[in-house]
Amino acid sequence: MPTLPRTHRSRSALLPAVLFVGAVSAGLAPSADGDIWWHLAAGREMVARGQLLFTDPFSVSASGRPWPDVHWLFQLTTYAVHSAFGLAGLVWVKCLIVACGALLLFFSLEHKPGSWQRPLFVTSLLAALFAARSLLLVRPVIVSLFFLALFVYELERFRRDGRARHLLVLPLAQVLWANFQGLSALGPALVGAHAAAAGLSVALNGKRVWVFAPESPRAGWPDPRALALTLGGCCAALALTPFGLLGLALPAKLLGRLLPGAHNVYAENVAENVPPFLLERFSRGEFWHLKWFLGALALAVVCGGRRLRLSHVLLLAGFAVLALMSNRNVLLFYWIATPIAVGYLAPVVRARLLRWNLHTGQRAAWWVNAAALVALLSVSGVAAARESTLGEPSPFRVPADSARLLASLPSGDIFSADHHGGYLIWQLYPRFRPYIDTRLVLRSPEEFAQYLRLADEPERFKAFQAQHRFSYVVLPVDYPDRYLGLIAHLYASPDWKLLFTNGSEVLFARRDLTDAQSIDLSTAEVTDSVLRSSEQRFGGSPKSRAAAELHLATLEIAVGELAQAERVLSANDLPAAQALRARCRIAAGDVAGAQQIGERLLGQDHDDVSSLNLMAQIALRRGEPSEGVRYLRRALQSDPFDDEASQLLANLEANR
Amino acid sequence: MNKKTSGNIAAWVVAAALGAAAAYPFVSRELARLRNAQALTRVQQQARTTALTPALSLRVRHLDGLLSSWETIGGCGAGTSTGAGGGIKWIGHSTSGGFFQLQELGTYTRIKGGDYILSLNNQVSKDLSEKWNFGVSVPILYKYYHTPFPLIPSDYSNSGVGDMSVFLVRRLGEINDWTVTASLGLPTGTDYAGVKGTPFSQEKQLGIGRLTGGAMIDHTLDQIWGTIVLGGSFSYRGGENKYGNYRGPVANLYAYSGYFVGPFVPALGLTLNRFFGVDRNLGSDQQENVFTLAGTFSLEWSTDWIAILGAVSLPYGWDVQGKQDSGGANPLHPGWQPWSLGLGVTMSPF
Repeated sequence: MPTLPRTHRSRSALLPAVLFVGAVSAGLAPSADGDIWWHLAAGREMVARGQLLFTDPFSVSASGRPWPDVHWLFQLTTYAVHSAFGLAGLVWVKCLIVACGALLLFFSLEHKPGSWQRPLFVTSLLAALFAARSLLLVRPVIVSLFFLALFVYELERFRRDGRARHLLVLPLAQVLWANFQGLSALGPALVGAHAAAAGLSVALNGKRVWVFAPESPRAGWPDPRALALTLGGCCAALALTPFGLLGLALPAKLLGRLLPGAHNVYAENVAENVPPFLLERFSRGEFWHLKWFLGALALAVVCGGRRLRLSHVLLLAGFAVLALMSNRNVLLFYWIATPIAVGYLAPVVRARLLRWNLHTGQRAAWWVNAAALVALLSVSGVAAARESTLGEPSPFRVPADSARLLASLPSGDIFSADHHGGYLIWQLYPRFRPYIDTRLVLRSPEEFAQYLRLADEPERFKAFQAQHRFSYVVLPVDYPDRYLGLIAHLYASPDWKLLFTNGSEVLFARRDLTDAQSIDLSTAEVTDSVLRSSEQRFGGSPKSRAAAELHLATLEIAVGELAQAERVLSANDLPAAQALRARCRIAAGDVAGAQQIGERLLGQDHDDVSSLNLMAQIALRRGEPSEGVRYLRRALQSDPFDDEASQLLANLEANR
Repeated sequence: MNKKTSGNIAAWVVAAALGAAAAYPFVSRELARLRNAQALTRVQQQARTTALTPALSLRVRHLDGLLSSWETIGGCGAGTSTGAGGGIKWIGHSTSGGFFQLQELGTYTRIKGGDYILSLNNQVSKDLSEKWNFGVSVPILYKYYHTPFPLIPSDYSNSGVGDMSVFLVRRLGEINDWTVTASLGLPTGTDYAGVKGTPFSQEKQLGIGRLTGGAMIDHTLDQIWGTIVLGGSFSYRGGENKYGNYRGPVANLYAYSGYFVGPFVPALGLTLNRFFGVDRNLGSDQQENVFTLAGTFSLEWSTDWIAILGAVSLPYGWDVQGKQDSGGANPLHPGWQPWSLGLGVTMSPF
């Protein structure tokens, strides 16, 4: 059998190190998720009370309700790490856990002299992790990645040598996993897939109906009874949480909330639950890689041919369905599917290349793989370097400034965006409590739908406020922009004062609570003050600074302060800023001015959907419907799912 | 037991499912483009501006390049608002009215001696207008054979994509009760698979390696109680390929009748096949029944958007011609021929 040259063999010893470094760098980004804050707050509260939390102490809407907090071990651990090393420490620990899990997957692949599985795996997994790095958040799912890798590692060892002692660790690991995250049900699922495949393989291998490869090269292996016992042990371990049946039922409850459909308010409205191909229509770039991964996996399975194992089919099918149901599961899918795909693909690629030319084929493969790795590590490093400091939350994702100001104000309940709730709890509990946070398992679908309606139909807020008597409201301008209508409603309301904004977040207080002066967004002083503060904060990051300016301009337009929005945008030449400026002019009735900007933007990019939409609106306002439809046709040809263009088309159809 | 295959049906099925998922964004995008184009054509001449409600969006940023952690949309919290095989013919309501029609029909054909053929026919068709329909059919085949000879493997199989075909349907008559179908088969199935350098006989190959063609005419008599379908077809099965394998033309006549029972349609049918000459393997005639008569029973259950059909077909053959293969253990006699079980689903999405 041809093997790699000696120099290549020695270099292959570097593979685990490269994988480790690459996996660490893929996750190097500041904390951007809202969940981590209530996890930290729960850890702090458990330490302060000296006991676990069985009911919700934190939020207005779920106060006192039973809380199956199966993440309690994660919360205590993260709180300890945060206390010792801060937020940056949490990010580094996350990266190390991902890297350790990646190494376990690496070593789960059979090491044969001359095999290309491991080199190809390193490149493929790093590419997958980098593509899905927006999902590598400081969350319990990171621990689940590690446990999944551990299960894969031990199950593969058992499959190869048949020693049942490899399986003993799994029920023990399952006990830990069950107390870290609800996704721990994936452990028994993994063992179950191997047990079913082993049972059927032993019973049917050699029979005509068996179309899969045997699970093990040795007859009678792996022993299905050992796997069945392990499965039983893991299932029993699932129940070993302080929350009994409530904790046991949690995975099923969470899964039910992922099922796509208009009937499911969680699947439709929680960003991480939306199916990835649907989210891709809005995000335009976040999940571009999923279709290519699926295509590559299909190719790998075809290459597998007669080597295809039933256990792999079950795992691929299960994790693919989970990923297609909900974008949060894409990372898990990549994690499990990559080693499987490489196992089928590598031997075929190797055979083809060696058949082409023994020496040139080997060298070409080695250099291509090495070049791909270098490219991946470089891009990963660049991406990490462009992020803001790890010791602070990711920009615009938490209401840090509002929380600081609130700390000096009289206590009270806060109506906030759900993903801000956790941060407000972490910073302000027990003096302040948010109405809601992202622990949606504590809320009924009706309650969550009612909350969403407040953002979509702000006129409902008055009645809601009469019921709850909130003292403050904290909302984001962007990420998401769903609350813009409610912000405009509160800004215009005589019952509320705008106490603070930095352009990206707003803090309102009930007018009867404070004598402080309300912020008037129509004044140049306020605009300039916010711009100066953005410059101080994001001076080193032009991208973040530009985003902050866009947020401020968006806020000004939303509340009707168009002159100030124009001032903010006039000094910004970025296409997005100019597109917003054109919209500002339309809103102000300056159609000619908007057209001037639109034509300039289209001159820079003929297919820019935003500019085409703008020109379509201008033409329609000018009473030139055929011209408007012509622009709209170009916009929808360029992006058939564009929100604004689709809305324009719907309006045209309704007004025929 | 030594098992040789030129592929693996399971791998193809899994790969097809993954490939379909991978293709979904492209397909849905193209479908959206088509829908938008149709809607724009409708409004083109009638767009009015007086009652127009502008949809002014403040979302002007595009995500591109390396996304920073704060740019991603995901995360917890409210975010967005966001060809028939085995001689089985589909008789029943089926589905229609969607953007296209998708028909998946799997059949299991049991051959003497434990041999069998599994086929999954994937057919997609699209109404081009009220009168015209166009479609593509992609069969995936798994042929399993057992042979008692000691010098070659005792079990072997041949699987993969068979001969794809495209077809064009023209509906005739005021109520479209006549249809004429022309089909063209493409040589996408392997025609020279074998074991250890010995090719399988021609009927065990997945294709003939040549273009094939066919014509079919159907007449449907819709009654209050059910439906009757009468028709016939002629198929040119490719003639002789470069290995001396030959598949002769065949013609058939058929009559089916289905009875409406709520969402169910049980149906009975008869098909008479006439083969014009016997097939040849590597230049030698094969033994065949020149005439077969197949009885079919099917049961369809349907809703507006999906229909599922189960069917069984049992043919009887006579007028044996040709000569027995020198290696063949079972000379052919007039009598019952390989039977088929079928399960299919058809949908008209979008």
